[in-house]
Amino acid sequence: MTNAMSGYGLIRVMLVDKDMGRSALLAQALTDHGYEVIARVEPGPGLLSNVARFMPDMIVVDTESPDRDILESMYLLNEHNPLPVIMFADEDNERVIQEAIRSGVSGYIVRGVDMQRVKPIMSVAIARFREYQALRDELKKTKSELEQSRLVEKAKRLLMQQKGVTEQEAYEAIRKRSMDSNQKLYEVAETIISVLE
Amino acid sequence: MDQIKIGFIPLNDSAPLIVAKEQGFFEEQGLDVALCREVSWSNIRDKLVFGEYHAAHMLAPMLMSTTLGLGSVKRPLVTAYSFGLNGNAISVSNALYEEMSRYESQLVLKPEKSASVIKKVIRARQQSGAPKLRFAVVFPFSMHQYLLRYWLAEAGIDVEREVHITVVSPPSMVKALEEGLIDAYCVGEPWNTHAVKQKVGVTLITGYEIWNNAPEKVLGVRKDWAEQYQEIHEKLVLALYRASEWIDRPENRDALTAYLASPQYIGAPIESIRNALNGEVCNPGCSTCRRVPNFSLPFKYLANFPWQSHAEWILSQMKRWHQISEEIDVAELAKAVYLTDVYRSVLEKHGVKLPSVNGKEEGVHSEPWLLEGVEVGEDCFILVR
Repeated sequence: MTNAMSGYGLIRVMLVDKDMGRSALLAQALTDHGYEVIARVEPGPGLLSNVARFMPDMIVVDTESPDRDILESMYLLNEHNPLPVIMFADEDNERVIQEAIRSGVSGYIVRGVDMQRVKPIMSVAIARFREYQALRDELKKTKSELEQSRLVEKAKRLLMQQKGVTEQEAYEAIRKRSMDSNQKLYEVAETIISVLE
Repeated sequence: MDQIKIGFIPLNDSAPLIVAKEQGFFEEQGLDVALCREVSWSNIRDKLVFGEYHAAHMLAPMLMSTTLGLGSVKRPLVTAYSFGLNGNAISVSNALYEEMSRYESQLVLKPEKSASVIKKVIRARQQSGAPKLRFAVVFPFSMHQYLLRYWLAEAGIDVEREVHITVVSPPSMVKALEEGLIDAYCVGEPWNTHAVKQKVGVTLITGYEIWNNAPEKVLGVRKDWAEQYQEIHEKLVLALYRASEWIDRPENRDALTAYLASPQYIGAPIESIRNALNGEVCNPGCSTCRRVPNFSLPFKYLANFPWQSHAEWILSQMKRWHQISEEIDVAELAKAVYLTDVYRSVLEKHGVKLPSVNGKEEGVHSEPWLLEGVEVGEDCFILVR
């Protein structure tokens, strides 16, 4: 603590994230960059007691955590010494905060820690949160593509069974309806399933 | 501007936004509004400050703290619309209620005595070496914080030394009480009634009974945004006024409750939402609900009028609890943050009769009264017995 406050040594970071997978990735990234992650915790009403227990110099928090407001109360507390304050309460850092908020992450630091030394930590956090989001979006996309082709397959099967057409004919029928009605293939498939099933 | 993004927290008093959207009052003004449900007041503040949101459902004192840069980036915020008056209450855990019951029976029916009984519990705990009581409010800068402190201090409790006050966001309150992390809290509805219905806590007193017709949430916007998009801001105020008027009509109560209960808005059971709207404070047995007709006031008594005297009271409490320096000019800051003139000019254009003054004397009217021919509610503070 005294190290960080006097400007030497490692800044002791605590991560608060309801997604433990993401916080593990961020912890690894920070460690690789030479920072010390002293704790990874899930948000919850007991958050303040975790702060008191680990006494971090800096807290990085996922802004989707419903308990982020708890950290704001540190601004008023005297008993958790040293007194942590919201990060970036200075205007030089506005760009970093804005990016952080867009990426779904925020940070708090102990009064006295040099802003310049925590900026790179936030940059790593922002980058990791973005990557993680991109990964999740990609997964979602893959999943929905799989889901869509499954629907088309099912509609084809139903047409083949109930209308006695070949697979090729069934597919052509769906494709034609899709073009005529200006709907996606899977949307047409959904309609067919709802009618035939 | 294509779409206006407005952040809100799932609470009964976010109703004007939900109704303006669902009943088409925004549309009537030609506004395309997206409502964004938020998980924390800090997020609302940060997203408003950095332009992710154009406007927000905000705790009135947050406008002052953000304007002054307390715990956040300093950015002037303003309001020209109040979401209504009252609406919060103080509830305690079942265990604390039991402890209190040793000193006074039937406390659910004696709100005026609750703080002095809390004081007795505190003294007994000091004697036996038991830990301090832990209270939660929804944000460091909130009416909940100031009403809770006012109520405790009126009973002669040394708030800074004799209790802990922490912050928990509204939807997490009931869970925190259930898990024994806090002993009591001050929060907006439905989160008091919900605790009672879940058999997790007991509601002692409503905010209305601490300060009659106190301010609560306001529509917060950035000062520079209000200047740049004056016309849109005025349309927002008018749409919300229309929504508040709609909310006040008894025949719309069921539709309102259904809107609020739906998962994309508050997502709490209808039973938990309904009581406060009906002016009832729920008791554990629910057999003797206490009538507090003004538990929440969405429209009546100029509930949407942004009184600068409300802002002045908030600032005076921020001074009292050492959140801001004694040097700050309260009247000046209240005037800068509360755009009462904007509200008046928008509504007068539509034939609404409003007082010509921006402030009133607070704490002196024990009955509804007429101000320039307009009916205004009572504004007394609690006298602890």
